[in-house]
Amino acid sequence: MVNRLALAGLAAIFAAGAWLIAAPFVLRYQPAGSRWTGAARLDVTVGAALAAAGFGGFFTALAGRVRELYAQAGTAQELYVQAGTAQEPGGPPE
Amino acid sequence: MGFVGFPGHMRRYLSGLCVATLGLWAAGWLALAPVAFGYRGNGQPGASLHRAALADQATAAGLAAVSLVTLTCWIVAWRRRLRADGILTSASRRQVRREARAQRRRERDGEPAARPPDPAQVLSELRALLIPLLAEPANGQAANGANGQASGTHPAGEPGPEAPAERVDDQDDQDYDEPGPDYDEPGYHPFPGEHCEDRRPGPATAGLPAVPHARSGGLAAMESILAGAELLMVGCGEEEAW
Repeated sequence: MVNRLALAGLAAIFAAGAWLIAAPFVLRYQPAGSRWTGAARLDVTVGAALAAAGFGGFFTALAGRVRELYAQAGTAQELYVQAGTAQEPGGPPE
Repeated sequence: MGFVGFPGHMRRYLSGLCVATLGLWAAGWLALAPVAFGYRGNGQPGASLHRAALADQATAAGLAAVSLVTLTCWIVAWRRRLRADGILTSASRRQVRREARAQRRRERDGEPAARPPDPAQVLSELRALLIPLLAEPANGQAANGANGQASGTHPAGEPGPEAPAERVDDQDDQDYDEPGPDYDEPGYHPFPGEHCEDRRPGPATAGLPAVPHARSGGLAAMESILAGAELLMVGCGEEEAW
C-alpha cells in the first residue's frame, strides 16, 4: 500500500508538471502569438522540470520494483530446483 | 559517487525521495513567485495576471500536499526495507513505549511475557507437524500396493517367475521399495480403519517414540513448501505485497 501510494505520488507530481505547462494556454493568461509573459515563462519552466523529474522518478522506482520481483522469483526458482534435485535418487541425501 | 553507482533498491528509494523533495521546492517557489515577480496584485480580478497568480497558488498548494505525502511514503517504505534487511534495528520511541505498556499490562494480568516468534523455531515446529501428515498417505499407498505385489509371489511365499525382474526394477525406483506396510518400522502408524491383528509386535516398537517413515518425494516436497514459507515470512517482514 505504501509503495503504491509512493508511486502514485510520483505520477501526481508528473501530472502537476504537465498541468503547469498547459496552464498558461488553458487559462488564457498567455495569448497565442504574443510575447511570452513572465508568469507564463515561469510556469512552463517549473512545469517542465517537474514533469521530467516525475517521469524519471516514476520509471526508476517502477524498474527497481520489477527488478526486486525478478530477484525474488529467481530465489524461489533456485529453492524449487534444489528441492527437486534432492528428491532424485542420485541427489544429495536428505 | 554518482547516482548511478547506488545499488538498485537504494536508487529506487533515492529517486522517489529526490523527486518528492523537488516537488516541495517547486511548490514553495510557485507560491512565492506571484509575490516575487509582482504579478499578484496587478490588474482587476479576472484579468490574465490575476488568473496566473491564482493558478500558481492553487497548484502550489496541491503540489505541496502531494509531495509531502509522497515524501512520507518513500521514507516509510525505505525504513521498512532497511528494517527487513537488518540494517535498521532500533525501534521507534512510540513503538518501544507501546511494547512496554503491553508488557506491563501482561505482567499485571499474570500472563507470561510474549516474545516475537523465532522464524527458525516456527519452521522447525511446522516441519515436525508436517512429517506425520506426509507419512500417513505414504503408508496408505503402500498398503494398497501390498495386494499388487502378491501377484509376483506364490501363495507359499516362494518368489514367482517374474519376481527377479521386478526386483531389478525396484532398485531403480525407490518408491516401490516399500510394497506394504512395514510392520518392523519403528514409527509405523496404522490407519483408523486398518486391522492390526496380524501385526507382529517387534521389540523395536516398544518404548520408542513414533517417528514415521516418510517418502523421499514427500520430504522433498515438504522442504520446498517450507522454503517457500520461509521466503514468505522474510517477504512479509520486508514490505507489503503488491
